[in-house]
Amino acid sequence: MVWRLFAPQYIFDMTQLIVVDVLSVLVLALTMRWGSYAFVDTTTA
Amino acid sequence: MRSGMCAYNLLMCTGLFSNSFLEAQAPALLFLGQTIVLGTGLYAVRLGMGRGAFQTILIAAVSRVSKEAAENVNRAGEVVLPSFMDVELIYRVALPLFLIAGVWGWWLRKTHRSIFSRPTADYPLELTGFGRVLLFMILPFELLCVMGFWTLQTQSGADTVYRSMSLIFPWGVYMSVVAVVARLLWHPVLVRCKDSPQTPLSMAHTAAHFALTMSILAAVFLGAVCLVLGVRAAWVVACLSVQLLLWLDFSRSMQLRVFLLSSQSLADGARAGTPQDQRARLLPVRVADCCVWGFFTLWYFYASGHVCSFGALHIEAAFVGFEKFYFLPGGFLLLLDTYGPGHGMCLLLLPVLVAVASRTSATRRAAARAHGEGVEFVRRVAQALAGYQFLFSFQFVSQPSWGCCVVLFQLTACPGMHCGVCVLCAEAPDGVAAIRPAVHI
Repeated sequence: MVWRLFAPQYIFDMTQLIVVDVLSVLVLALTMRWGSYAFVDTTTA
Repeated sequence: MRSGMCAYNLLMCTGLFSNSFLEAQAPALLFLGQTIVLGTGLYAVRLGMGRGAFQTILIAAVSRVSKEAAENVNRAGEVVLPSFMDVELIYRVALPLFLIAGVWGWWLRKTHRSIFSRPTADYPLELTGFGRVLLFMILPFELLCVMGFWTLQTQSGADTVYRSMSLIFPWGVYMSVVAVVARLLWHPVLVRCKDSPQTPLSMAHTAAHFALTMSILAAVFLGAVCLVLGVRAAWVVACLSVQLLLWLDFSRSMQLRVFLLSSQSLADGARAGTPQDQRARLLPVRVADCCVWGFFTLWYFYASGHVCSFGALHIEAAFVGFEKFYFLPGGFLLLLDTYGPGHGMCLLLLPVLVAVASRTSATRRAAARAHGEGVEFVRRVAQALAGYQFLFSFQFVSQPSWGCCVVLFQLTACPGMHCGVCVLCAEAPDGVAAIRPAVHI
C-alpha cells in the first residue's frame, strides 16, 4: 500500500502542482507590483 | 473563466475513469484539444468570423506538426549536426528559431500597436528606453545565443576548445532572463507619457500595457526554455509559440466580435443586448479558453519528450552552461526543462489571456466602476491563476490516500489566495491600496 504513495506518476503530479503554485504566486506578485505602479494616484499626493 | 474551469475539471474527472486515458494520456489530450479548437472554430463561423475559423484550422494543423516533432524528440542517440552551411542545419536549427522570432515579433508588435494606436492627442505616450530594448532586442539576442550554443555543441568534429567556448552562450541567456525579471519587479512600467514621465497611465491603456509586459516576460522565459530543451525540441518550441499566440489572438478577436454584436443589438433596442446575453454568448469562448489552456499545458509536457518516470528525466539539461553537476542550478535547470514548456509558458501567458479577454466584457466594466479598475483587474488575474492551479489538483482523485489531502488543500488555498488579494487591494495602507484610476482620457 505505502509504496504506491511514491509511484513516479504521483511524484510528478505533486511536483507539477508545486511548480504551478510557486510560479503563479510569482506571477501574481508581478501583477500586483505592476498594478501599484500603473494606477498610483499621484494627482492627489 | 469560472465556468471554463468547471468544464475542464469535469472532462478530466471523466477521463480518470477510463483506463485508456490514463495509459495513453498524450494522444488523448491532443485529440481532445484539437476537437475543442475546431469546435470553437465552428462557433466562430456562426458568429460570422471567417478569419477566426481559419485561425483555429491553423492551430489544429500545428498540433499535427507538433506530434511529428514530439516523435523526433524521443528518438534515441546523440545529436550530431552536419557541418556549417549545410541545408539540414538550416532546416533543423535556423528555421524553427526564425519561426519563433517571427511569431513573437508579430505578437509583441500587435500588442505594442494596440497601446499606441489609441487616440492620445492630449497624452502622447512613448516606450521607455528599457522597454524599447526589451521589445525589439532581447528575444533575438537570446535566440542568437541559443543558435551559437547548439551549433558549437553538436558539430560532428566538436573538440574541447569548441565545447568550452560554447559555455558563454547559455550564460548570455540566463543573464538576460535574470536582468529582465529583476527590472520588471523593480519597476514594471514600460510606457510613459512623453511630457511628464511621472504621470500614471490611463485606464484605457492598462489591459493592453499589462499584456505587453507579460508577453515580454514570457518571450524571455521561452528563450531559456528553448536553450535547455536542446536542438531536438526546436520544432516543438516553435509549435508551442505559434499555437499559444494564435489562440490568444483568436480569443481576443472573438471577445471583440461578441462585444460588437451585443452593442449592435443594444443600439437596435433588442433585448438581446443585455450583459446577461453578452455573458451567454461569451460562455463557449471562455470554456474553450480554459480547456485549450489545460490541454496545451499537459500536451507540451509530453511533446517536449517527458513522461512521468524518473528514467525519462533529461539529465543533460542540468549541464547546459556548466562543466560539472551543481545541485541547485542543475536542479533548477532540470525543473525548467521538465515543466518549462508546458506549465511555465501557459502560466506566464495566462494573465495575457485575462488581459485580452477582460477588455470588452460589460460585467467587468460594471465591476470596475464599483471597485476601481486596478483592483478589479488584479482580482481577475488572481482568480484565473487560482483556477489554473486547481486544474492540476484533480489529477490526484484516483489516489485516495493523499489525493484527498491535495484536493482539500487546493480547495482551501485557491480561494484563500483570491481572498488575500481582495483584502490586500481593499485595505493595505499603501502600495496596492493606491490602485485607483488616476487619469481618464
